[in-house]
Amino acid sequence: MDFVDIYFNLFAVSLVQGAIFAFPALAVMIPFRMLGLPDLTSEGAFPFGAAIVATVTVAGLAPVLSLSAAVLFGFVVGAATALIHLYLRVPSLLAGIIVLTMLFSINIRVMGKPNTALFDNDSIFTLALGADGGEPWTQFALILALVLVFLAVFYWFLNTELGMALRCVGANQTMSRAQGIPTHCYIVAGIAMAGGFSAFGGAVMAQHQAYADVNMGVGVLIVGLAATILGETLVGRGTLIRQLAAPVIGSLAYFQVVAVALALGLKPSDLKLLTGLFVLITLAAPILMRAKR
Amino acid sequence: MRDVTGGRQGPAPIRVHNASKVFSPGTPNEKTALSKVDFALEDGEFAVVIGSNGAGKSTLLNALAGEILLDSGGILIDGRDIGSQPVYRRAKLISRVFQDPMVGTAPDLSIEENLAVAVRRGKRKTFRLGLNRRNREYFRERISVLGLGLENRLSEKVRSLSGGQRQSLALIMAALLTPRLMLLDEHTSALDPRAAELVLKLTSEVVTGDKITTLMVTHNMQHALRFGTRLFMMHEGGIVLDAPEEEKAGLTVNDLVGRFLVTDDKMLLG
Repeated sequence: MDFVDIYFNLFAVSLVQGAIFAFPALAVMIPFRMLGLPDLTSEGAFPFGAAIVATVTVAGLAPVLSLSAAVLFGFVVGAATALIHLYLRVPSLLAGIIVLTMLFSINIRVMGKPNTALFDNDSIFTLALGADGGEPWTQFALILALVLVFLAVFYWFLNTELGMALRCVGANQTMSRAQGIPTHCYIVAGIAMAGGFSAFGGAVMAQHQAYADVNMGVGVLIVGLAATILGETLVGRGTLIRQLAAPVIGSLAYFQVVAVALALGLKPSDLKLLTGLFVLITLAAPILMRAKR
Repeated sequence: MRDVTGGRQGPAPIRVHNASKVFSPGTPNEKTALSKVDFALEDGEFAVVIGSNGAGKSTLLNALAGEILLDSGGILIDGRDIGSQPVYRRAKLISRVFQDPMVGTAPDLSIEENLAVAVRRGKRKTFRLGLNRRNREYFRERISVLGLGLENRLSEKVRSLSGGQRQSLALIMAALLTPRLMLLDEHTSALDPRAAELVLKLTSEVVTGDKITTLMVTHNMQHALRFGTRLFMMHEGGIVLDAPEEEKAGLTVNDLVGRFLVTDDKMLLG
């Protein structure tokens, strides 16, 4: 098979992947960019969301409610990281690592085993697109609609008094306190929201592939980071809308780049190396440029 | 006798009572930052605090703002002791302009968003939109008194403003919701002379215009003499001079330098 053929086959599937990973990408962007507090919890919240959705679905909960349950538990996980960071004075990165490590065991406890198949269960895909779960194109449309709804609600929230205070905390904590904003509450809420986004992404992923696995979180963080950086290069981050759109557009673009790389003959297992290198080069670019001069 | 009470009976609205603070107690670095500081401010009083480095000016301001907690003594506003409240709770009553122009505003938020945060200072936040046509109009009006043209740049991020513009904005923000006490922490010392002059002129207008009870720390003795209705000089954690308006009007920079030297000599001999 030649390159064009393979890429053509991968195109729609990659769009679906890109749309799903827009959620964890948003979950990476929120702490890094809006709160100025690097956080890794999304790597753990993603499979946690999948484990929750799988377990409650098998227990008989309806698909939409299952997704809501995943979001709720994602909140809890994010809040846990933030509380560990704020009140036990653990650096935020380490707090995230501790939480995501513990979540590995918790996920297996939740499912009772390392993975759960959902082949016979309903999902938002079977509900909306028919018993076969739809074609990649329709699936993409459905997930993109979900992304847009989430983005619209989040954008509205960030413009409310509460959301403005949250952004203020991210921009300047000293000033926020002097303006009467209890910064700790807002940091907990912000990281919790990120956890919710990531868990939702994992839950949609589990419903999409009709399968939840304890290892499906591996590399989510670096993909989210790559997507955010790529998106910011493409659309910038000068306004709130651009900052919110960046992870989404970045995620869609990232999985197209991945499809091209696969079509060129790279193995899927090479992708994490390439993604890591991409993130590294982007982060180091300003320093490398300066050194050159 | 001057009458600043406006005929009001009872204790002054702002009272600092026997305030003491020792840093690193019991170590070789032990430092008495505040030692039994006692004063009261009447409504609308504009007190200026001067003193050499380490005299306790900043500690006093930080203690009032809640950034540090006193070892003993109290801070009363309208009879309520706020001495144990965290910064964000005191913000209901106290507003502040910081020394560093970067600290007092949120660079990633627009001018109008900064104002929207300030207009809810210490109030409960809701799910209502932070900006609407009415409060935008109000912000435009308030910020236009600066004469800096910022009213036409409301949606620009504060990041793009100069230090002087940021301090002017911070001052408007601090007065937007009239506080019971406004703290100015050497708020012109990081500015070039022209910007400093502008911000001071504005400070004076805002304080007298809105009759805001104010405590301004400065290291510039000329500013201390030109502005304010009362002068405190601090030394070694205590207030060594408390000059009311008439006495302050008769003081010169030389008088103040003289006092500084006297106290410094004492320190050397002691």
